[in-house]
Amino acid sequence: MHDEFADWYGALWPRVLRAVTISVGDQDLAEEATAEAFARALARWPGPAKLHSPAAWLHRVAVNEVRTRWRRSRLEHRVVEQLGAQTQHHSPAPEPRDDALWSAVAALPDRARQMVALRYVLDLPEAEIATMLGVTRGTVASTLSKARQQLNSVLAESRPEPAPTVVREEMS
Amino acid sequence: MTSFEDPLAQALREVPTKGQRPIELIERRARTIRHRRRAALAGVALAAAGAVAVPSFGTLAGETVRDIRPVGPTNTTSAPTCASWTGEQQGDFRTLADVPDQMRLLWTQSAPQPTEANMVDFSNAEEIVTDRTPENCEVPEGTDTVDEHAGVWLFNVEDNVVTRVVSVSGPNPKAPQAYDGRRVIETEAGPLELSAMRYDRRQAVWPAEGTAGYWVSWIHGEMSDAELIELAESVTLANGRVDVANWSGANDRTVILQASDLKPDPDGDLTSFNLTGGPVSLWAWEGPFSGVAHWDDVDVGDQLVDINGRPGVLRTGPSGRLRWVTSDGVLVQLEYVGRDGQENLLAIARSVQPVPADDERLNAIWQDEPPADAGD
Repeated sequence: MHDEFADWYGALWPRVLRAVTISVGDQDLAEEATAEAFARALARWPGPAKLHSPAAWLHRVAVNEVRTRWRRSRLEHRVVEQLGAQTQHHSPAPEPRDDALWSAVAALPDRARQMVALRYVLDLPEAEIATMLGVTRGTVASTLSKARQQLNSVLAESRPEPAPTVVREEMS
Repeated sequence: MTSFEDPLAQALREVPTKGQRPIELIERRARTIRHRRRAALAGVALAAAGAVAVPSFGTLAGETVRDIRPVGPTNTTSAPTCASWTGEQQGDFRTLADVPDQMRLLWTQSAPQPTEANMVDFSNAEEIVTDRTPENCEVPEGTDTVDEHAGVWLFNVEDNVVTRVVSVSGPNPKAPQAYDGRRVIETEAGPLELSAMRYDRRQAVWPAEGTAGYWVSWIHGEMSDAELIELAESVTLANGRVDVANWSGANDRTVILQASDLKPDPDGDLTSFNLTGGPVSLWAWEGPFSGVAHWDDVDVGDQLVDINGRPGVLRTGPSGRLRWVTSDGVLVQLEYVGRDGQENLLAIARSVQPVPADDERLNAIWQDEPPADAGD
């Protein structure tokens, strides 16, 4: 069992972590939550390996874990406010990065980031994303379309300019 | 264009992320989840109140699996539902004084000071629903056709190191699916189907004479075709037990154990005492266990060791693990995460002793309640 899980873990970790990182916009939190999701999978092993899309399940558990932590931190925040103490902002802000694409992803609304992660990192079809997130397929399609426009423009800007084509005139 | 051919998708897959967390930490957390699955979520009790347990049509080798389905109005949105709502066992955290004397263990080796200790008691556990939200929808347990905890296990041992592990179980009503590299060998017992499982293991399946079922053998370590054929032709069922005494592979350097004596977790969660300090953690499971229960999950390369007169099994690697059954019938597992300092594992194990309930070190770190972040 150990070896099989180890293999599964090694194969899925990078993809799931990347999707969770994009979804939640915080690298440290994503890593913590992804590790928690894999631990829960192991606690239920071998059930998760038999799922239709284990990566999608892991992503869902991890994102839910992040939400739970946010809720908890917001609650702490409220209690501190009630006590009149100096408040601290616990909600994780997207990580500052030099990478333009990452910045653009981080600037997307929460739901759009999740859809982007599920579609372009986990390669889930739109219909499945719609079911997972409890929205219509049209909502997924339109959200992804808007997100693509924003991200593609960043991507195009960051691409190197194509080299000018040299037309060599044939000497007659 | 699939998303894999999409330049945007390719760029997103290059977003840097952190490296893989050591699997030993995942394993430790998984173990904690299993043994603390329970009470941290207040909403669990509410979910249980709105649920009814119905017997499942699916059963696993004598274990009853229950489907828990919510009653009342159902969610009619497109949100997904669980195919199977698996029940959980809810355990109670105990005070230090409630821990049975034989399980209140502590290592006296000067190495890592324990920083966390608790006990989860499943003796009065009731089945509960874990969570009703789709995000936390639990997945069903596996449904293997072969019960690896039935039959007999043979461990060949050379110089206190396990060199081969062979299990023989059956008769199983169904032949399990073959793996890769399927090959058929004709034997007097009938056609023997051999295939390569993962990680150097092989599966052999052949008809169980006089029944409609099949013998199934899993092999890790060297075994020739001649040995395998002899095994197939010599295994019998005697008084309801798998008998391999006539097989020459079961020699005087072979430890032969009934699988039923090994299985440490026959009914789900077991009452456990846990102690953690730095890279070292100790788990003690309430028995009584048979004196050979520590052989469960023994594999090729494991070492047989002596722990103050009690036999133990040591596994080394990225993480170390040492198991033994105390004279009181408690199954103990001592773990060490990481390689640095792992050589001290045996010395630490030999220093493990029961301590009184007023032990200062234990009292200083005892947890009567699950930690705030232990929710599952």
